[in-house]
Amino acid sequence: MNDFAGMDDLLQDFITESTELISEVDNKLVELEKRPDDRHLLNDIFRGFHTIKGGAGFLNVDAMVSLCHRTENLFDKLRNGEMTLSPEYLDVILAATGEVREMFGALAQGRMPQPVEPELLETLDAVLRGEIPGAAKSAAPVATPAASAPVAAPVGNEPDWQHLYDALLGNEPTAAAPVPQVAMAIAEPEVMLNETAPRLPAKSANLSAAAGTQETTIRIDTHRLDQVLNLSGEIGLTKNRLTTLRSDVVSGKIDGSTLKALDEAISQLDLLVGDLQNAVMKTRMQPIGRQFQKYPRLARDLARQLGKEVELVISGEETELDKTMLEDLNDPLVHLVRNAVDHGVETIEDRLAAGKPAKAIVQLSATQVGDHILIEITDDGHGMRPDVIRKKAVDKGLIDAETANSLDDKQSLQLIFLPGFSTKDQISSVSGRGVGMDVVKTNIQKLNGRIDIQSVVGEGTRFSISLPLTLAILPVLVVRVCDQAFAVPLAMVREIIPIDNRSIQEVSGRATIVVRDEILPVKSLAGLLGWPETQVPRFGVLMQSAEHSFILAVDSFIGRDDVVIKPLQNIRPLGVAGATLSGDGSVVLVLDMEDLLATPAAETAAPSATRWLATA
Amino acid sequence: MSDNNLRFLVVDDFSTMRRIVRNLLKELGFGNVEEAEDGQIALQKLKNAPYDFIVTDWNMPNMTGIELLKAVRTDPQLKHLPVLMVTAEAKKENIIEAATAGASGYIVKPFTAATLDEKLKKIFANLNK
Repeated sequence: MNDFAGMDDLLQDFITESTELISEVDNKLVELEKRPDDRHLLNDIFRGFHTIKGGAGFLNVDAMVSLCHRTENLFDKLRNGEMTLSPEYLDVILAATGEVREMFGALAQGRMPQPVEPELLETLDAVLRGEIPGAAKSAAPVATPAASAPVAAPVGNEPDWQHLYDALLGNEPTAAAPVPQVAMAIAEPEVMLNETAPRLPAKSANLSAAAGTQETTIRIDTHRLDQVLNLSGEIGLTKNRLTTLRSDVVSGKIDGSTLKALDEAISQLDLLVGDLQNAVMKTRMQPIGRQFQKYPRLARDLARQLGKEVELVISGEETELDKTMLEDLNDPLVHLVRNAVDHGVETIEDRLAAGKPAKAIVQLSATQVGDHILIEITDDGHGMRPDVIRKKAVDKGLIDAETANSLDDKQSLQLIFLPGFSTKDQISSVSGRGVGMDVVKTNIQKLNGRIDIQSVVGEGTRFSISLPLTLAILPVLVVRVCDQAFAVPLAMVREIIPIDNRSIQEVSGRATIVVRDEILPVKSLAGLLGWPETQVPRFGVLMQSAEHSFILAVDSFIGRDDVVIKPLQNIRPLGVAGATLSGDGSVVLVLDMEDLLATPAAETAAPSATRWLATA
Repeated sequence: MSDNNLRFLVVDDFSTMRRIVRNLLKELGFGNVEEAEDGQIALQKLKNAPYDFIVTDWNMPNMTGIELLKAVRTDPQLKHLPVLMVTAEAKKENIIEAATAGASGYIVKPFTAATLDEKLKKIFANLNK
């Protein structure tokens, strides 16, 4: 059950804030490897542990207190120059932060974390005594005995500070009061819990919902909230105006000035609602840096494990992205970072042999490009060879040789996203399970995003992920087929062309159109949906996704629109992402093009195009 | 005794901790609490509006609690203010440093409302002497 009844709010705050802190500490530890004497870094890390310890103390998380207390002491010595950092120490410290992180995991589920393994504490104590872990008996203590004695934990033998302080101020020590006071603070954790528990009984019910690992709280800049409030106020005022106008109209007062006022009010409402949507969306935006923070540590650990030297360089941390997208983006990014370190980057020997510096650079960047977010993971490794990838795919039976030969280099690189593809012969324990890249791609596509690969042999590989700013509002193109309206994601639309029968050419049994020297297959939307074609499509929408470029043949257009997708409950027709309402109140289905193209009808859609070609 | 309308300034860079202290103060009947994220911000707030009591953490970026304490004590407008240091530093040097810098009280984390109450009462008693 829940070990923190009545303290949920506090616990949530603590977890949110401290998880960020521990990530910062982790990053600074990685930095510290480069600049072991940087006093600022040492001080920041010290403060991080110190703060977490303080918070954990109030929540009675003793395991965390005892661990952070030791690391804090260690950094206190390091920053005061009583000790110098060695790689062995750093490993122990990193193990400790890993442990702290796990504790946060337990806390997030409302459980009290397990006590720390005694070995880790002992190792930390040994480090504090100036011993090098692993070489326990040698190594004369560096630090002075006084300093190395387990100093003044908040639990146990603390100095009589009250007494000291009284003595200094010349106060009368009020008989025996001070020491029991301290003892009380330590000995009464249950009392503290019980005191607060009955005051917030309703809250404990919330925790079952919050027990999942996903964060349920969000931090919002108050300016943004004020904006939302402001706009909703303005909308209220406009609504009042409309109500007045309505009673005017109902009572028969329909003159020019009323209509003009009505027109104005509606235009204003239009603007305000747009602004409100934007403002609400902004409240969900979080800087991507919080997500990125975790990766340098990840890259470092992995590189060390693989005997490589890799530096992860991060930029664009301030770029903002919808919170849910950020969370869903974590797994793909973790995989891509691992992949870059594991597969992308060569070993130190290979790098030196190739005339590259021993240390590889993996760059992770985020930028906003128009209404999209672009995230790039670039390594300076050996790059990917399209021919090797093609061969692998054929060897593994994922594609046949004929298909392989028809692929160009760019398409060949896309093969790594096929399920079951893994280029390493030796499956490594880290990223080579062959379940990775296809999952990465699926996850990105779920976010309405796109992933592309650029690779230059010998120079490195770049994965580019392009994501919409938010999932809440989707810009679409509304088209008409068989007298029904459908919406297709605007992100995929490159251009719209009229279809002239004479421009359609048949290439190996498929209808194609040449657009600026590019031969593109024509697929009719009716055919994709499995409907009989009632009329000859007159327009083509040039659609482009990561690996498909084709012309979608439709009857006519309605226009572009920003829609809010409502998922269909219980039923999930193939190729339909959801539904939305059009301006006139009718239901419009929003199509999932990738899904639609994967249907068996996708192949037959083209021949049906030839049919209308033939009959036209 | 103590006036429940006393205006408190709680200084800590860790918002959870500010909230804990705020809750504890509320439990003791002190509802008039403002917060500051570090010594610098605290000092600004102190100069812009009147406060009756400062509760500050020790370890903070930009300006630490002890620096804040020293700044308060050297400012003719502020030097009379009681300053309670709240910190996890329980070392002898720290306590001496705080005391010599003129801290009105020193409290070690974690603590309960009762401990805080006791400290506050003692400080008030000293003030009224």
